[in-house]
Amino acid sequence: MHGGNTAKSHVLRALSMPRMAAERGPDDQPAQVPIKGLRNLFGPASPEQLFTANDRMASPFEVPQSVRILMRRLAFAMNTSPGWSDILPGAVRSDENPSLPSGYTYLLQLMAHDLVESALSLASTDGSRFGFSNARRLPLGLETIYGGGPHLCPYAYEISAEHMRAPGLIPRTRFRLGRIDAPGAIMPDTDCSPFRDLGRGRPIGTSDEALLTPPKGADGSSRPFPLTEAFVADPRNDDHAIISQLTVLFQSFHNRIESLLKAAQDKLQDGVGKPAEPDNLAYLRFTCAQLAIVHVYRGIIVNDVLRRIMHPRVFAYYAAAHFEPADSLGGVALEFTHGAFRFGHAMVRQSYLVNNDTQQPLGRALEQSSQRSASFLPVSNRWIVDWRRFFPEPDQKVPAYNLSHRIRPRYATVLGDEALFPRLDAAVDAAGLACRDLVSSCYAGLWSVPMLFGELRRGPLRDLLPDFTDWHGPLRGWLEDSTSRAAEKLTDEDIGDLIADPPMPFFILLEAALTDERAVVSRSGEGGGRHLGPLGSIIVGETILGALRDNPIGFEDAGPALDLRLRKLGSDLIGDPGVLEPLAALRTMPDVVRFLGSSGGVAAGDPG
Amino acid sequence: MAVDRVMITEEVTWGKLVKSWATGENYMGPGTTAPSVPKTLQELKDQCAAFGVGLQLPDNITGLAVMQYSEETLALRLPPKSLIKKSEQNFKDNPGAAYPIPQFYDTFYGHAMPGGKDPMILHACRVGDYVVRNCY
Repeated sequence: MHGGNTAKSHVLRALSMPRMAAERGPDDQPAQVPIKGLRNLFGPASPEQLFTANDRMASPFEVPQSVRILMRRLAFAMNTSPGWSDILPGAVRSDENPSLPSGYTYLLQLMAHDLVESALSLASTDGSRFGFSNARRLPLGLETIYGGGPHLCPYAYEISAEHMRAPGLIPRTRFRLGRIDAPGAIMPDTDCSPFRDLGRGRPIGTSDEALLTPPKGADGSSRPFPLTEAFVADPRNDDHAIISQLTVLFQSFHNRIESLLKAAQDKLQDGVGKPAEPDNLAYLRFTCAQLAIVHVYRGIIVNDVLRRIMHPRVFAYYAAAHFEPADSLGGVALEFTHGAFRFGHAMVRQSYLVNNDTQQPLGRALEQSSQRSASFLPVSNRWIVDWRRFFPEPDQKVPAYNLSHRIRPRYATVLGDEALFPRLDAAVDAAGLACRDLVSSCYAGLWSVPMLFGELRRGPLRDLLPDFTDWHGPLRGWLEDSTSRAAEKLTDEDIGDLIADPPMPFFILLEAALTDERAVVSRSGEGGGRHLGPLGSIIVGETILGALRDNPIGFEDAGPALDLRLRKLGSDLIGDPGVLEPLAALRTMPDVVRFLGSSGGVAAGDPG
Repeated sequence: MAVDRVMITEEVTWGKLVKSWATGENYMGPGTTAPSVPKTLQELKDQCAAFGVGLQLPDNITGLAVMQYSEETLALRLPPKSLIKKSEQNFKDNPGAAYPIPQFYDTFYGHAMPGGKDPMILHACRVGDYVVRNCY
């Protein structure tokens, strides 16, 4: 085992030393250690079914240097992945994907946070699994937004006058939002900027050494205190400005529904002889709003997100099966977390039209995070997202909007930025997210791609996949072509090993690029990259549909249709079956944006 | 996407490329060899692609000139008159617009460069500085 040179890697490895004994079997061979909340697709894979880079690795716990070098060379080849020869209908540029506007790139990131709660990366711990687990209790239940609710995550919730009067009794019921940094964007009749950022702040009167006195600028002048704390349930939702803005969208959605419910409660209480206790009303209102939004969100995941990202043949298969996955086990598949779902990284653009027709470089958004660069906060008006530009209406002409990149084995250069994604091991790795994803997948203990093809072709999903040997030619063609222009070239032996046993994150991207609408492998890639290929779709579908099936939420028993559930929710918790009726038509993200834009305000310039 | 000035993304790798060309030593990381000074625009583009540097050039750029000066020579690299006039006009047409400072300055110093001063003054300072400083 070799190590990185970063201080973080040293610390993480030091923390993980006790696992070495535990991860060895009685014959002193590395042993598969279950990871809480994570598992292989269809249950534990046997050692011979796991990815080994064609026998270069004995086990996922001991990744030799030759494999990390192979991943580095593959990451270099991804830098020079061939461009598209065609432009898709509805796009202007060959690398744009009209099927997936850019909002879905970041909704997928939020969904990943909502499925897996873990602070560790296997790449940065050299594969140590000590402390690595999935702590998410209710996957796809928007815990990533709500946390444990106002009692467990009080900092995420607003202090209302009602709560202040009886803080021990009446819960906080609305999300706390923060003002943006926009001197020119003043709200009508006030001298304030609107609440369009996460709630943020700084500790006062605490022992934080760096915060006892105002920080100094280069010229010795005092600078404002940095906003080091983001008041969110999941700090990963403050990784960059776009994901924090998406979090604000969901928080605003909740606050909008909470207001709707409060008005309904007030109306129902009006004229009642003995009004209900305000604490009961507050709890019912909060719970009703949360459940209603989770029902809408789960509907969007199936009707909007999966329909867009899955191959149409695979989506049709699951739709015919009433969205019942074949995998009957609980937990999230490692092939999803460390393989297929990394495809979102290939969708990232270099720049975005955020709230006007000027491109903003993504690098600027990546530096707006309380944990990483608190001095850049609150989020500036350049990054206050007009969501119509990320989740456009069908046939939208104005405003102009962002399309994600077509899916292929290539990441935007900003994700190769050495300042943002330095080499984990300076002696071996390449800088950038692509190399990290590849290295992480080696340590994760994933199914070998050919073995998984074989397994799937023996089961009910067999008709959705070609024989893996159909991929040998396209794999060779892509590898030889891409590496010919790379800074460090793959050897013939490397290419042979990658064809025999490709790392899953790479294969999923190539499959998306080179599979046509009939699910046939295409060497040209014409028309490709619009969605995942069959294997990627199966892994994603099995995981997400499995999480929905295994983690039911309240009021699902009211019926399969959203309107039935919302009526029962409104009736049982608020006493008004029609109170949630405006939500019954929200089937897609553009629906939600339209709903909030007209009644809650998420477009640029809307009042707070 | 058309650009009106040279755009570099992944500035760290770009800087290492320049240092490799200038010194003949390899700054590009394990597994690579020291890249040679590009002789053509296409060679420059190929090297940038191979190392993952995002290089975007205005359509009017069709040639490449690389010069390395000696310690004994003061190299004054004068920008084209048309580009100076274009920037000046841009400041006049967009009063209050932020002066375009590369992002790495903000990142390195940990806060955004303050604005608010006359951009023409900063423009003069930067043009003068870049012509004579020739960073090394």
